[in-house]
Amino acid sequence: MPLMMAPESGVTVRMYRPGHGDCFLLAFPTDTGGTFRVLIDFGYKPGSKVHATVAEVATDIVEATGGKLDLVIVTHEHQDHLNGFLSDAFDELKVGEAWFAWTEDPSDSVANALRARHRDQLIGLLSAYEQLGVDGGDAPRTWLKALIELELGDEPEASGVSLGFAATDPARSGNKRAMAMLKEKAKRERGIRFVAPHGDILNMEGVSGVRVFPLGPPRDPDLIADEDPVGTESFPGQAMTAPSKHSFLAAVRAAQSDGNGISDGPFDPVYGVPIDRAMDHPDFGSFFSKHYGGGSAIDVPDSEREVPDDAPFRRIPTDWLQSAEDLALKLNTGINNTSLVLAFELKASRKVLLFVGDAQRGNWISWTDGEWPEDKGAITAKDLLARTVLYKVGHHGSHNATLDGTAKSAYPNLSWMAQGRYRREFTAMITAVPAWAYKQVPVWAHPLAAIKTALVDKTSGRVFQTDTDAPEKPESVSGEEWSEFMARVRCTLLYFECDFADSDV
Amino acid sequence: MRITSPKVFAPVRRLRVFAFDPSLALRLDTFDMNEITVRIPSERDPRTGEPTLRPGPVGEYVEVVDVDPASGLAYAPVNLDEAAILAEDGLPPSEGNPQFHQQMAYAVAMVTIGNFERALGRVALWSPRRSKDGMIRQFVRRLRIYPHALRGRNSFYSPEKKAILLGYFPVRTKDAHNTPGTIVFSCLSHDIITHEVTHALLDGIHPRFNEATNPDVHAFHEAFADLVALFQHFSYPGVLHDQIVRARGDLSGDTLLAKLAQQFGRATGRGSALRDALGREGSDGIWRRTSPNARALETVVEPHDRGAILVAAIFAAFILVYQARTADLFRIATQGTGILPAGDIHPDLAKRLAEEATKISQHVLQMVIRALDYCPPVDITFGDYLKAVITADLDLNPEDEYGYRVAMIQSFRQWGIHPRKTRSMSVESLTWPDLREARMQSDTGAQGTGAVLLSEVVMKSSLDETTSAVRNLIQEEQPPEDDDEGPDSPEVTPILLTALPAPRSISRSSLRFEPWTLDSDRRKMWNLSQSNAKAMHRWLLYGQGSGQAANFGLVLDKGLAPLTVYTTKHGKPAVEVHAVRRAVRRSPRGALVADLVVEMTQRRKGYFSPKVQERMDLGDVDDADYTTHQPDFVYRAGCTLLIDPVTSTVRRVIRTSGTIADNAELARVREFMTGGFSVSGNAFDSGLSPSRAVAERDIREPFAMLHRYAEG
Repeated sequence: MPLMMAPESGVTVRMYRPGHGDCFLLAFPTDTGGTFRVLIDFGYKPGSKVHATVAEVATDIVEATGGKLDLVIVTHEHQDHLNGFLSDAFDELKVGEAWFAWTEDPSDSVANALRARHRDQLIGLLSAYEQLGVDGGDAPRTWLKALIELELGDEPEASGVSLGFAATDPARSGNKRAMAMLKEKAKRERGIRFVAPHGDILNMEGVSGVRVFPLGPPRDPDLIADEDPVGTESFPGQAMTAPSKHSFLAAVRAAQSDGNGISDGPFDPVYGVPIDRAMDHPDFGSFFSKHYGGGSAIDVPDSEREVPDDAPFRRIPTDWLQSAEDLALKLNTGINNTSLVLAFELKASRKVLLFVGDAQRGNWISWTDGEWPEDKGAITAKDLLARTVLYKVGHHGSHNATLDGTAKSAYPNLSWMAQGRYRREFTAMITAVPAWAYKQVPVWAHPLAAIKTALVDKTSGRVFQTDTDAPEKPESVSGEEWSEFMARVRCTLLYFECDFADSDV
Repeated sequence: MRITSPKVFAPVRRLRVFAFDPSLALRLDTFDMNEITVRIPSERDPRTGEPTLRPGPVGEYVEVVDVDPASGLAYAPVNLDEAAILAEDGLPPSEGNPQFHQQMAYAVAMVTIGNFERALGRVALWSPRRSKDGMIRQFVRRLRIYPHALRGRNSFYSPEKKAILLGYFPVRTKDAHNTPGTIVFSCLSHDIITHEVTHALLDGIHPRFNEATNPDVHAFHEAFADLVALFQHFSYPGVLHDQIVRARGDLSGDTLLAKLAQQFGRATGRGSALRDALGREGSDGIWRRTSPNARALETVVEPHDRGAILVAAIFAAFILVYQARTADLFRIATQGTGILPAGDIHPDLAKRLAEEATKISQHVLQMVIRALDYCPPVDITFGDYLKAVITADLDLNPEDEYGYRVAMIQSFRQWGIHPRKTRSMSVESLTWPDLREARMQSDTGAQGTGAVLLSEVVMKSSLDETTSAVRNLIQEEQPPEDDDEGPDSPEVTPILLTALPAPRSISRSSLRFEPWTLDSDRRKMWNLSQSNAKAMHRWLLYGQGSGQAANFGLVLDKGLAPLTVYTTKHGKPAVEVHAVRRAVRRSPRGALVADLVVEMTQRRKGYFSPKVQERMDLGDVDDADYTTHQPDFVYRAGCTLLIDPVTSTVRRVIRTSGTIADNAELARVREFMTGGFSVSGNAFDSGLSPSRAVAERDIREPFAMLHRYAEG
């Protein structure tokens, strides 16, 4: 594979196809006629491969960049945006600079509190996961596992992250190792930058034709937690409340620490006896033996006409632990909302490339919280979205990561994007493998059909999707218009490439 | 409570429960009405007087088992027949005593069951347990209730465990109505218990009713459970009285009752959607009812929000009737001016108003539940439900003296709820067809041109034929001869839950309906319902019923069914007979109306890719591919029949919108399943998801996440 070279003007965006996950290599021309290469995320969900393996993608990136990435951007700390960085081919790769969201900043107290909370909850989840494993059956465990994997970057059982109740340590997870590796590499060169929303306009060294506007993640922890208004125990958000000894996590921890599974009950101790001794209790032991049963896990034989009172399938030893899934979802959402959202502006034509990571609602609605003053009036989120010609679709096209609305809505949404002449070039990239995603239990609707339809409509068919070998021409689009578009496009089994010139459409 | 089954429902047991959850008890405005005493069957042997209710409580219908796995504890079961407890109408309401929690869960569950039995005219049966291959069903006598099963603000009915799992959780600072550090127990909320028991009862009636095939399905389940909780709550004598006294000057019923309904909504902990659908406080601090929005359904797909629209519509109908029925009282009280004098209203007036509201609540509750027998077996929509409510009420109560049906239709229209293919909103067009109308619909549908009608003579003979076929089902002694099966094929394919042994190996009597007796043991009733389902199945596939299938919207002709339709071993399109239920209802005028309610469905393999679907439909694949290619989803279609067992006539034919061969309907379900349906609020929402965060919940605990997320 040859080096990937920048076009004379504008940018070439290469969307790799490692599977259900993000990996974008951007090539910008430098002021001296060279190429500045940026990698945004590199990860995929194991099992979601389409054509190329992740190792093949990694090798290609090394070759296309000559072994050096000028800039690496990690939008957020999830497996499907990170695990590719641990590929062997990257061992010798050089990283000129690395950008992360402010939530990674070790000198930021809010960020530290968020990460500490995240770690605590993750440990609680791992513990719940392990306890479910004892006799919780397969299904609940599988759901929880998929969610935990996103947070860890690998399987809970892998590489010493979780070695039984005592040794749980998320710091050893694949995600953490990938982040540490990148930071270390970047520190050897120009270093690390933590990006806050609506702060300084960012520049790429030697690329004066492009400016980068950070739109998210929000500084407000409540917005990070916000996916929809949900009830208690949501991560992270809310003022700290004293942990209750009657909470879900308290029970998980109690079970983990003393091993007998007894935590503070909600009643005066005179009312309760430990479940394992209830069957032998002189007064009501017979009741619990008859109606709950303690012994055999042999289930009701099919020959029975009536389900017996002590049928094992009706017991509920681990059902309460399934609330862990609820927590895990909130945790996932919380991390998705820490996505670094960047708008790359090509100065001459004012075209914008919008990379939103996996930002969900709370992140989206914060984009209007600030603006950048200029001589000709401030640059706002609405303005940037209106000039967008490339939209990296949020969170694989899931239901809550592309907001719907109208051009008049008060919050950022799809209708704000690509106004006027920018519409003629508007292109969307969806990093999803629905054949894999729809097989998940529960189903991951990635992409949601309603979003896909809206995008195909808005882009006149200029939609790239990981598993689809080339964009499909809609019948309503003229052959001429389509071939103009396809002239800027290259599709291989490894990636899609699309050029955006820094000149008017 | 009316006595419905003398064996179990003998004398009455009185038990005290919280009217609202205890957090509301601590507020002054609700303090004095917080305890109510409910009346439920005492569960004694009517001959010996011996108690049949055991500690737990464990009775005929319900068993409360109080284990708290999160705390690792089990709590001693309450014995409600202990003399001291019996004499005091049960334990006094208490948050700190788990035995009171057990009592309350049991009492409220029994009230709910009683309301269902009264409305449906039969004993309540829980959904059976199915073996893994679906071939065997086992009787489940009791619904299990775990009052302290979960730590968290969630409670759900588990169809898998045939159990209700109720949760508890510590209060955090942000909750305005609770003190931090205290614990909120779901099992102390009348409305949560009722809501969950309703889910369980529904599962016992309609096994596939919760399969989401359109945005209304999950929404309907939530709305229905909320409606039962709400109107059951309103129907306790006295519950409304205090509030009516307190809210003098606001007696139009317009805001008062809706506001009260909201309070109930909040008590369930999942009431935010309900709150908003009923009304809200404006910026001026004045509370107003939400005015109906005929376009709301177009944009709202999240199940709770959508369900709230149905609740609001039925609630508005309730208020319309209330206003009509209390207008005279106001005229009397105000000498016709309509303006009440200052000060407290007359106690007699308050009493009369409360009585009216209670009476109407009871009636609406019965209407709402009774409609369950008039729903299509799968793919319920709000519009279908409206037709079910109207038809069920019409059949039982042809007069509509108090205008309940008119109020329902008016209110549904204002909320934009109408059946899919109905153009007008008259009572007539909102009634499910009888056999004659159904025949005409399927004929015109098949012709595709509309107006080709059978001559009256042909129609009559055709109807007579059906009647005779049904009579055969119910009465004939001889098994129909069957040349479809030889001795080498003793069994119908095991795909069918209702598969039968070959004709030669089954006794003659099982080929027709067994007679029902009202006095039966519940297990006997269940056995009967099972064997009758088998008889029905046999009749339909191999007996005289096979000629009637088209009238019922079933496709039994191999040539008309795509290859993706599930078949019997012999290649015939298969039918699942869900249930054959007997209903005996007493009309307000005292007449007894008897029905056999039969639900039947067929199923077909569905694929997300239309191209794959087409190939599979035509069998354009090699054999290996055909048998191994798992479907992405299952499309079902079928019908519910109401049969008059006395005259052997089919009174109502309630079909799903398409037959199993209907490709357009299958495509509609596919579009819904893949999230192509619509857009809601500011998020693209499939409406498929019971929760907002997950696309589709697992099949085993469909209610778990639905409830977990809907916290207000």
